[in-house]
Amino acid sequence: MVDGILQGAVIALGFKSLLLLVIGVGTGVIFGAIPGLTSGIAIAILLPFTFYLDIYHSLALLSGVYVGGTYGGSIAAVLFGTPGAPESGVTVLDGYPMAQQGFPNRALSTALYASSLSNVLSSLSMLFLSMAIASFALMIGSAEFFSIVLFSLVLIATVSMGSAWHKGLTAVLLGLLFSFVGSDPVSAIPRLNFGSLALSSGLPLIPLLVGLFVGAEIIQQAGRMKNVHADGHIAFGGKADKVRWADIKAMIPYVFSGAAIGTVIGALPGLNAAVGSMLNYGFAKRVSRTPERFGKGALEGVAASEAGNNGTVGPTLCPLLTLGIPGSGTAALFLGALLIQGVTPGPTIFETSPVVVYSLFWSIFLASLVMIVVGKIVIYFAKYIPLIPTQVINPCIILFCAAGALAIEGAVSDVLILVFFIALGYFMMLGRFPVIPLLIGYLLGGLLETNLRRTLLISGGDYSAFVQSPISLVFLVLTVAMLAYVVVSGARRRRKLRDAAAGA
Amino acid sequence: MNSKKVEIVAGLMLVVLAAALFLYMRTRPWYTPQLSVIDDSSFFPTVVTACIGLFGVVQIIYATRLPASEETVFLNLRGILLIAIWTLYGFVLVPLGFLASSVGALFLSQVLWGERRMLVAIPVSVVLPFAIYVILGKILHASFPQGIIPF
Repeated sequence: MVDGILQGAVIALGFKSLLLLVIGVGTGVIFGAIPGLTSGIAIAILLPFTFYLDIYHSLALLSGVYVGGTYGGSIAAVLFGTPGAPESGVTVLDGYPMAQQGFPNRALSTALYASSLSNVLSSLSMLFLSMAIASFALMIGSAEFFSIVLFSLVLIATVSMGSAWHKGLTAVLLGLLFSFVGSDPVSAIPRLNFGSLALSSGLPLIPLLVGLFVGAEIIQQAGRMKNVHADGHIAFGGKADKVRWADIKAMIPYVFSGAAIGTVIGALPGLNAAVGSMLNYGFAKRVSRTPERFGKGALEGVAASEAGNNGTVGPTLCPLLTLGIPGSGTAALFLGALLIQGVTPGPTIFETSPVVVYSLFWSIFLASLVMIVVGKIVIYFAKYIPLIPTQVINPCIILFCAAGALAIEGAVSDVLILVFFIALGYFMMLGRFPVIPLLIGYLLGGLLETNLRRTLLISGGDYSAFVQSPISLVFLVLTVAMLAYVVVSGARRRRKLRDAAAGA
Repeated sequence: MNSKKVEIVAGLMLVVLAAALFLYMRTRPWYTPQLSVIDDSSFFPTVVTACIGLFGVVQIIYATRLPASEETVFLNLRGILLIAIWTLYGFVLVPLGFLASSVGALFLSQVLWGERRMLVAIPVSVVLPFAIYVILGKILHASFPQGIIPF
């Protein structure tokens, strides 16, 4: 283990890795800061280009984007009252009032330090949590794996959908359907390829991932022509607008609570950084001696929100690395990055590719430190962000995606598949269907089918194999309980809505 | 379009998709349901297709029971046109080549997105595809269609 950690450190501290890390953090912060763009989009654009890097450098670049993007959202939240990314929504509550009171630099620096420190802690928790989950995962067989994947899919599909649980499940089912295109994973019999040679080896990963991300996020912005503009000149104050030692001391407890909450939220499939941010903000407000200041420009509020969302960064990757289950959209993109490099994450990753895990840990750790420098520079130029012409940037993003899809295999059909998924992502968003469950359904479809059939092969076709294993039984019961809960609570919510409408 | 109508249309589309897929699968040689799931290539696709149809029905039922809503879902014409431009781009890539088709698609997309300054739109439309072509196509040896431009 120590050897692996040292090897990972040597790779991550190499000149090329550090350079890519700086480029990644800078790109992530800028993408995160522009309202409408996210670190996910930046990762999706860069993903095809990582094909030309080795796995370690590819992870350094993407980690930088991920870490930088998670912080970058706070810049627009503080300066313009519009979260640059969904996870920075809570930062608006206190960051924007601080900027209006003449402390934009103090708010942004607080967000930067809280994000960075929380990220360092999250990278440590990622390492130890991954080791713990991997040692547990080594004990599980195909029946347990099937149940865990099924549970994860149901959780991802339903957890944030409320009464529209059926939309999340439909998205997962569509993802599963796309994963069946190509050939049967057991018998290799061609299926669902619609007679197309291009589809005979399945739907290509990159055009699907990139298309869904871009379609959902970029195309819908075409209807909104205007950029987000600041409602006045943003004056960065003098000495009073600097972070003081007392401010750092005040934010420390909330950074630790954010890292702890973020670890739990990040490790659970389906829950995202926005939930971590919201929970830590709520916690900070409850334990604060001056809760009345929250929402009116409390520095602790900014720190709590940013520490909560950045605390999820490392742990989000734990289920992916150790079980091969991406619990979020960003983790799905990281899975894509690993797969195109020939690394299949799963329970044996610490045996087969330990240096990959350790270099990823170091990359996130170092990106958190690099972010302090890059973040400070970006803060200086942040007031110019509304001047970035989205009507120029967004078409360029689509061209980058098309070039990336084309570059991998040189197949023009991949560009058409990309456009199909851009359109699908856009129409799904229009119908309020979530895109991420589809993505994850596609990535896990093969795993689900293979493990079901492998279990039945081992048990001689006996379905009771799934309930004979205690672990499998627990996850199946949890899946059924989760489904029952969302159906019943969804029905209650709809009834309340109908009653309210009838009473009005 | 009224959001309630959008919900119903989405549900109907799911039902139609499931029915069409089911009909398509039944005509394929690989669709030979077996007694055991172990060697049945059609089992998972059939189950998933059936569930999609079922959720389509659930979606329609839920949508029809929703109270009347004044919320409107705007079909973004610019978005549709952008998708059309990039679909066309996919089809002209081989005859025109990466460089020529990218310049055209990028320029049209910028204009459609609202960029009226030709001094910005034209240089961006030329420089970016050229840079991508040189970096990916020439330096990293990605295989881009050449088309009408002979280099």
